[in-house]
Amino acid sequence: MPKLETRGLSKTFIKATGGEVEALRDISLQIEEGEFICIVGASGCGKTTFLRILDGLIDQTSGEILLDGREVTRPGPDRGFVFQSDSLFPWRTVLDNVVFGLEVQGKPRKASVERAMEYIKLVGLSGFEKNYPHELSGGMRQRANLARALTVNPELLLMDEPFAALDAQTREIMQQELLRIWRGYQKTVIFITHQIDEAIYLADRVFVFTVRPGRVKTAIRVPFQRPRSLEIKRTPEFIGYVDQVWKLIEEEVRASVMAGES
Amino acid sequence: MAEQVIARKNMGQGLGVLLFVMLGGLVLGVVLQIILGLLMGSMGAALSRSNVIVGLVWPVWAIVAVEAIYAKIPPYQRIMPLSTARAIVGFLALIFVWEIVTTYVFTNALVIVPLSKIWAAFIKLAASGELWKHTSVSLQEAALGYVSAAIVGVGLGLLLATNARLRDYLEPWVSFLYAVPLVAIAPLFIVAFGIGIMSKVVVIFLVAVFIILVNTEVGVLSTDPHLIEAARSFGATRLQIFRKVLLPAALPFIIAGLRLGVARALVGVVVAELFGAKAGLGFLILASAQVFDTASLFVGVLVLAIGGYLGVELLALVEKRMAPWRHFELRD
Repeated sequence: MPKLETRGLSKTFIKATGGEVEALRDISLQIEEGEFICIVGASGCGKTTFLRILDGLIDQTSGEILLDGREVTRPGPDRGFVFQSDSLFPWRTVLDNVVFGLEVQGKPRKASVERAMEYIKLVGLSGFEKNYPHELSGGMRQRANLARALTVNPELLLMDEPFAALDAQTREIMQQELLRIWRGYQKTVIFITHQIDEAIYLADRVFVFTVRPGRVKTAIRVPFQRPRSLEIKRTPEFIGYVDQVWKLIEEEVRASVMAGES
Repeated sequence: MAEQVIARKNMGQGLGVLLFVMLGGLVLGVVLQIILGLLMGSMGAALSRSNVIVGLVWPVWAIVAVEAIYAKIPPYQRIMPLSTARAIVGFLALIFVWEIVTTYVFTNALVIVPLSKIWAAFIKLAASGELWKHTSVSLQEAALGYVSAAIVGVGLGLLLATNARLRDYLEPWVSFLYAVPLVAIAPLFIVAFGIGIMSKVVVIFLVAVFIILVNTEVGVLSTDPHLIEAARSFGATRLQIFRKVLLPAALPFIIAGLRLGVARALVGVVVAELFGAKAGLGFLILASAQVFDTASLFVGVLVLAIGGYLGVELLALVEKRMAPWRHFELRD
């Protein structure tokens, strides 16, 4: 049984002006336990919408989501979401942010704090527990964000362009860090990005989405052995994969521009 | 060790500089006065007794010295920040100027009087117990009116912010009453509730409640939607989102509203008492004006001002304690 399965997942938004926007059409896919999936696609392809539906933040128009064979409809502790924007609570210290998920579940404070400290250490933020988010750099804030999502011990980690706002060097370090953490915990991850090299570096499989309405155009298996060092990004093989994905997305963008013009 | 010694030495120097800047003008003024008194005979002696030389020399000295000396020494040697030194000098300089101008230049005692006369009136009013009587009445009115405005304003603001239906129905009234200068209808409340304390409480409540309400509502509504979504993704209930996200996010706004409410409540105290009262600082101001006792009038004004200042500063302290992540200044 796959860890996560979607069957015919579709989403149509109704605009305030009365028109309809078909964001996702008939997405059916299966993801295995412990897989690292990246989703790439041109902007506006509905990849964030897809992730938000998986988390239960918004409802799909039709289709179903099965996690371990059970249907999910609402946000739950079995899924953790790492947001693109800095969504840490500014009035909470790093520790109180990371403990938030357990606090909401009504878990006892002492055990929760211990758990939170463990994950703060894992993401490399030890010593910053008492700091407020505004005192941290962008990379550190995303580490805290990641720790917050991991602390509730989710089966499925959903990440929406978490490194998009970081500078290039910090992003590469965070990619490596993410793989290190993932190796230790073997969670299933769905990671959205618009950086093709990021997708190929991280993923077991890369799903390329079509432009609106979003569908899975192609799934590409990335065979590089793990653990992967950042050096593989410089190999011809890696660049070949980047090229392949780049061409698929380019096709889509070109098609949509043509469609827009006709 | 060596560093500590140097630091202490620097502080010592800083203290010397500060004393020189702040007190040098006094010494210079006194010396000048004595010289003038010796040189100019009886007229000089009179001038010397009135301390006008000191009053003129000190502000000039202090401003020049702050800019030419205190601003030039390195910041780590300063006992107090440059901005604080400037504020103290500016405040005192104006008091000196006020005293001299009202004593020698602009001597119409119906409009403005020297601070020394206000001080004398203050002592007299305080000694007779009259000042405390008026202050306590105003304080009672302000406390009752303001506290009820704070409770209702924050409570209703939270309710309106979290209940869209209620907000839609009540929003026109809130906007309307927020814009109306409610002090204008204060006389109506005197008629309705009598010249006792109750009518003032109602006026103060009304002039203060809407700014608190509107700030609370805006504070909740301007919560970053990403934060609400983050809480939802952890499965937070509506009540948890309210308590753990909306309320802390709105807190700086609520406190800002409460601070603005203090200023409004003070206006309410005075205006309500002007339209009919038996006691209170506003009453003291009105009664003093009617008998042309300008000094007592200023006593009333200054006590009100100090009360307002303390109220606002107290809330600023509360804000720093309760919202250390986001300290910002707000002005009316």
